[in-house]
Amino acid sequence: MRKQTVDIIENLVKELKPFLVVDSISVVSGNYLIQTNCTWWLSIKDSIDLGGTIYTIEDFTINESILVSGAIPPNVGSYELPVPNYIHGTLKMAQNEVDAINNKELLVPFVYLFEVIRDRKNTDEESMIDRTTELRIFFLNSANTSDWLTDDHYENVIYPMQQMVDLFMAKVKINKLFAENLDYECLPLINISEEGQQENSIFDCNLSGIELRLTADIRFDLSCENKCKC
Amino acid sequence: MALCKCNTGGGNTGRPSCYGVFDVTKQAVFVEYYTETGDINGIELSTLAGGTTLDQAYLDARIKDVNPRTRWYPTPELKNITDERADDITEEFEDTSSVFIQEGARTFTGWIIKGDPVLLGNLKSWRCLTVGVFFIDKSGNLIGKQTREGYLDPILLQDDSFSATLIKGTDTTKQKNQITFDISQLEDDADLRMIEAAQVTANLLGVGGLVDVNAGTPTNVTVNGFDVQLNTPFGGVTSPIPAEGMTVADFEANEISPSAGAIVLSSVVESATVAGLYSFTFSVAQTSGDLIQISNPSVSPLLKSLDLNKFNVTIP
Repeated sequence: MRKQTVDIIENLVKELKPFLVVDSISVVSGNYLIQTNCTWWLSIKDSIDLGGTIYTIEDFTINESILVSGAIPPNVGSYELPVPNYIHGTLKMAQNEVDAINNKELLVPFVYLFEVIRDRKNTDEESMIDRTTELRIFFLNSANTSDWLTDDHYENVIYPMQQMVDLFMAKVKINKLFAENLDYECLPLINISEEGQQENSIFDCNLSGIELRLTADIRFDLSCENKCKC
Repeated sequence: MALCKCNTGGGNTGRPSCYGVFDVTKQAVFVEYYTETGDINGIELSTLAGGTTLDQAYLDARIKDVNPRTRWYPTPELKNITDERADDITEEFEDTSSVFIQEGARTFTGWIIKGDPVLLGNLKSWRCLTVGVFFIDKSGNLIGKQTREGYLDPILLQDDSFSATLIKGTDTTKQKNQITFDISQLEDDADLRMIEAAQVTANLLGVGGLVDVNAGTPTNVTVNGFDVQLNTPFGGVTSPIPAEGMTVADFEANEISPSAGAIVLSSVVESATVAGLYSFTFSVAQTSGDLIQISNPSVSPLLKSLDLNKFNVTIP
């Protein structure tokens, strides 16, 4: 059996586990200022585990520094970031899944693959393309919609989540299941809402992020890992 | 090229139910075809882990080999690849029938996106060598040829066919290097074989080659040590990209004259403020007039993907 597109995307999301490289640390007003060249998708009020101690991000400057609070100073070194959560399904099913999580801090950031997905296939024996599919993938993190202006959404969520999208696309490009040249669109979404009208949130929490619209040719897997010919 | 077997019938045409096939090429790995001993610079399969698995230790040993004659030189990712044989050469008769004479030449062309003049210069240096090539495909297979039992050998290139050029960028396209070469007419496509990706535990796909490191003029030279700026040849002429992160284990020191012999370096410390500026300290004070050579360690593999061009220091 060939892998479903939702499973291929899930495997790619599982590869989103970059390292936060802490170059130096200084104490600023009782908090710890971490210098780093890449802050990835870390954002304000996120929690991060640095060597077994949980820290809260109080402030950050993207790809320069992160101000964290915690019980003890963190150490210089590399720390693997946790893989973002992954949800797929129709909007109704995804809403139910998100609603069921009481502590939304455990959910964000997350990747949501919108369904229904249409895989276009063909019977051309020579073709390496198994299916052509159009995907809508949302990369989302929590947002303070009551206090933030548009620029705040960009600085705190859109810019960091764009780095997640960029890393995701880098993984797609080197994945053997994807053809090399892909067309995609990135849509910054502030306080994602039904029809973009800002009146009714899609989920029962306030979220901003990036919508990735990806038209992808998914290739056949040439390996013999799948012995079933069906 | 395979000879006709007149007395054994044709070859069987059956196939197993599932078998690996080559995927699209993503990288080429150039090697000198012959080692210093005259052997083909191939992979002796019995030296792989368990005789079957190409692991990271094996790959590191080949990529970071201190011996440049046996080292592997992987290209960056290649784009817009064509790898096709020209039409067969035939003899045609007056009745328009024809007979096969020989296969056409297989020509490979690929682009290295963001290829630059430094890389171009290094690629051009391959033209005058007897070159072999392995290919790494998108599925992570390592492709070579098998004409010797127990070996996967590189595919021989046609002598002097290797060409590298710089294609400058435009408003809408990036600068790139183009490489072109012909496969030797001595090679037969039927001999192509691979180590399948399932038998490769190393990070083969995407593997990078070594980066040259050049030394500036040593300064603050005393009997106890010296400072030197180490840069890669990449970057601007006034802003070269420094070689960062090297440590004492990345170097070896030897006195060349007046009395040849190994010298122990007690420390090599990179400046905290100037990237690529290193302070070398000898464990024992040297003598005025000694000529000392600094080079890569003599034992493979190198610890980092940096290939130091050896340089000399004269003790004042």
